[in-house]
Amino acid sequence: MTASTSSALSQAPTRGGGRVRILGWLALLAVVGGQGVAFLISRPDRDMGHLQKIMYVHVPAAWCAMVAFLVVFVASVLYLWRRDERHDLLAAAAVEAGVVMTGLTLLLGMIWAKPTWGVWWTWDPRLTTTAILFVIYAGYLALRSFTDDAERRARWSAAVGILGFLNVPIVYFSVRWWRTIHQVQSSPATVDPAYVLGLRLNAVAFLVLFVYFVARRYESSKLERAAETRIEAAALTGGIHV
Amino acid sequence: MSDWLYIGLAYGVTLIALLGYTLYLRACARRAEALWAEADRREVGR
Amino acid sequence: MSMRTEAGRIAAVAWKDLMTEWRTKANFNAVVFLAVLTLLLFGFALGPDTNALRAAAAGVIWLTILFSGVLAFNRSYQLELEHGALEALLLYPGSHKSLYLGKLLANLAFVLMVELVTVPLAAVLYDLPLLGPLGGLALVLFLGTVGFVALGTFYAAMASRIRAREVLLPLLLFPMLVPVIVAAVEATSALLSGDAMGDAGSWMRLLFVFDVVFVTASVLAFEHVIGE
Repeated sequence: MTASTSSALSQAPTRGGGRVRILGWLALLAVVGGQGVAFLISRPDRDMGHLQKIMYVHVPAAWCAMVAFLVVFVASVLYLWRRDERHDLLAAAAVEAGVVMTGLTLLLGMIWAKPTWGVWWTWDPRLTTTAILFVIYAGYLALRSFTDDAERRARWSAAVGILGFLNVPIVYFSVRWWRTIHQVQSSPATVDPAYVLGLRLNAVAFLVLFVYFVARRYESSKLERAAETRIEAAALTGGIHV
Repeated sequence: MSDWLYIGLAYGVTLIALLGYTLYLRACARRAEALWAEADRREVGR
Repeated sequence: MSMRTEAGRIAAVAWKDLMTEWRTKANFNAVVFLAVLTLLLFGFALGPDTNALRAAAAGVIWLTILFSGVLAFNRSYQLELEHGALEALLLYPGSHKSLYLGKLLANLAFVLMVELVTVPLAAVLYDLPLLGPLGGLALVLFLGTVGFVALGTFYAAMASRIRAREVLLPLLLFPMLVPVIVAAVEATSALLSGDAMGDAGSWMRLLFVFDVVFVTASVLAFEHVIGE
């Protein structure tokens, strides 16, 4: 373990707790407000009826999932370049929030599909890619939980995160071509311009929530790692005095 | 099957997911604080 | 760093791995038996109707290759791990690439040999016209296996060194293999049903692109995962 990165953490981590808490309340306000607005002002869709309302969570969650994995990619590249442990912790926090958003996207996609198309799952390219994304990042978290050495865990996570991200467009186009070959057409959910405001509003709201999730997780992780580093150092130098 | 059943299901799932993760975050923060306190104890004890 | 020493080192790694495997053949036999068993089980699962079997054959063959081949990857690192030889192998500059490519070649040879036994057996069990599209089939099997082995060798560098390796390797590897699987199965299926070479050709070109992408990415990322 290099001294430079571990010392960056063993000092008291900046207690941004106050700001994060404010962010949390802001996020709650934004999401509840956004959903309320969407629920009240959106007229029932011509085809979908009131089911349209599910889109106000499904689509923002999907966007957040994509933002999450972009953050993971950038943070992972930065870690391999700079070897600053904080980039690793940021990536891991983004993966967790990303997995939540991805799972939510999938579940809501299925709940929307059943009354609309009569089936829970249709191998639609976007949803299928989302499902694979979910497994890739669940694998990332599983790898982390089984790797005890912090430096190795960071390096390996970064490699997995980078490769996983690069595979996403490849998977998407493969599945799309696959379905075209078999002439399975699915009507993509087109967005009536009347709904765009509600979607944008909720997209921002969910993004605030996502930032809150990542910030909170990141702060906890930094504190935890700093504490671990101090405990290790104390054990090495001071012997056991409890 | 009424549409509202599915809409209700959607909101329910969303609530459980977001609330659940928020609670998990709180548990993580508590665990980290406990570990930091432990680190304090180990160092002072020297 | 001359190309010849580089190639020489790659060959040396591959040769060592293959020779170690060849001495016992225990692993090879076990993997082949598992593949055979998988083919039989798929047969029972999909029903005795040969039409259904023939329609599903391409998918069954590739899944069988996947499930049985995945056992080979962790084992290819086991030898170095047991004898602590990994650190020594990594002492030379640029040795990471040679190590990865050498292991890739060894694993490739291994899985291809497993396929040599199992694909004809699948043709027998599922009544497949193997001789007609033989050249095309051989090419698809080769291209698909390269993609499979490239990623498998990469992820096994990590999975083989932690607990729950039998579960973690498939968990990490299989979602990354979706494009390779889709392309390989489509090409195989097209060839087996005597389709115009058009479809199969496009999928095989795509498969080739996938191979280049995944081998390159793995070579570049390997040095970050193999070190201590």
